[in-house]
Amino acid sequence: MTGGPPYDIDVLLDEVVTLPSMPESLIRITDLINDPNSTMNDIAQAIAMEPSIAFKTLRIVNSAYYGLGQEVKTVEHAVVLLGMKVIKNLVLTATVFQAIEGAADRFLKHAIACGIAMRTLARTESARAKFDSAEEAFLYGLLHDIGKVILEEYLPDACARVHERVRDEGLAWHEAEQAVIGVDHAEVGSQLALKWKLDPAVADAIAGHHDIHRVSPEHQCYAATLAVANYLCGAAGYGAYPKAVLQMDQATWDATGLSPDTLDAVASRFFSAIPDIDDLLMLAA
Amino acid sequence: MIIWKQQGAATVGDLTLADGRRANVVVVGATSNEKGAAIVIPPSVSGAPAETILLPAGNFLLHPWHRLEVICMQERCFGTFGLPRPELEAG
Repeated sequence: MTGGPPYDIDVLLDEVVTLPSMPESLIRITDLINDPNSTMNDIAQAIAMEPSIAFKTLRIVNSAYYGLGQEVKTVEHAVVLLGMKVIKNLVLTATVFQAIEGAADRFLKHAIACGIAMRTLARTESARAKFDSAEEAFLYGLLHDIGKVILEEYLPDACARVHERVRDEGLAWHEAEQAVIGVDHAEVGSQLALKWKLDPAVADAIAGHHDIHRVSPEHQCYAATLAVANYLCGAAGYGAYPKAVLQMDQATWDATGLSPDTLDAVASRFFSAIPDIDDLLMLAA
Repeated sequence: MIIWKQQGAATVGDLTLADGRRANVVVVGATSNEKGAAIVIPPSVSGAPAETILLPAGNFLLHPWHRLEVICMQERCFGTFGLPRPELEAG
């Protein structure tokens, strides 16, 4: 016994943590969206068969965050109006909201704020080409800390020690997780994204949001953009915990491709979307 | 990360500039006020005056992520978007 942290990611997932499976309903809907022979009607029907997902999807579509300017009353209407790619991300968002239901208010606010920051960054000229849509970028932010929910569920005592070390030693949260558990939430969240068969870029962005060098060069831009979104949230008062330690380095910044000339506009757009946080929080709480 | 303290009406941050020098950033107003924030660089020679550069003229001296942090602090202290107010120790 060395006294070091007890787990690596393989041992943790083999012996302690059972990652939740992707809900059957979401698998069915995703399969339909990916099937070139399925129609919009097939997809709308599949979503409508899952009342809680359909309900949350419609609430997101009709939220101020989405700003459609018209009420969407049926899933069929939402699918026709928004298209399959957007609907896929919305259904996934609704599913994630269900998965994190009941998490601490501060965690939910941070996740949503980070989603909004990602959406804002994805609309800049340098990032626009990297993301399919702003909705896809929102999901990166919403999911980035989901590993914390899983670690908290399976290792509550260890997470309490993580909290103590953050508070007493000024460590960043992921550094304290590595010291106490041996694995951090970024690795765990990334494994969940892989298990859910999300785009590999999502899994890598989650894995690398505290260290872009953990992931392949082709996906470092996603991890770096997520790191900047996380930094922006912390600086704006929506950090994952009070007095969150903010970390950034030149290599991570450079990997985003963001121009310093865009920062005022990015910050302003992000601040304008702050009311959306409470709006979306009601969907997750 | 900028380490922020409250000094009277001003919010003062301690940071390292992009060229490696230590400096303070002093926030006294919103981003819409061109005198809302300034960088104060201590003299390199004893007895010389400190150099004060208003933002945005001094933006090029800041790491871009520090610039974001300054914009956020200006908004949190003086803005109208309803961001959480910072809880800072007195400096």
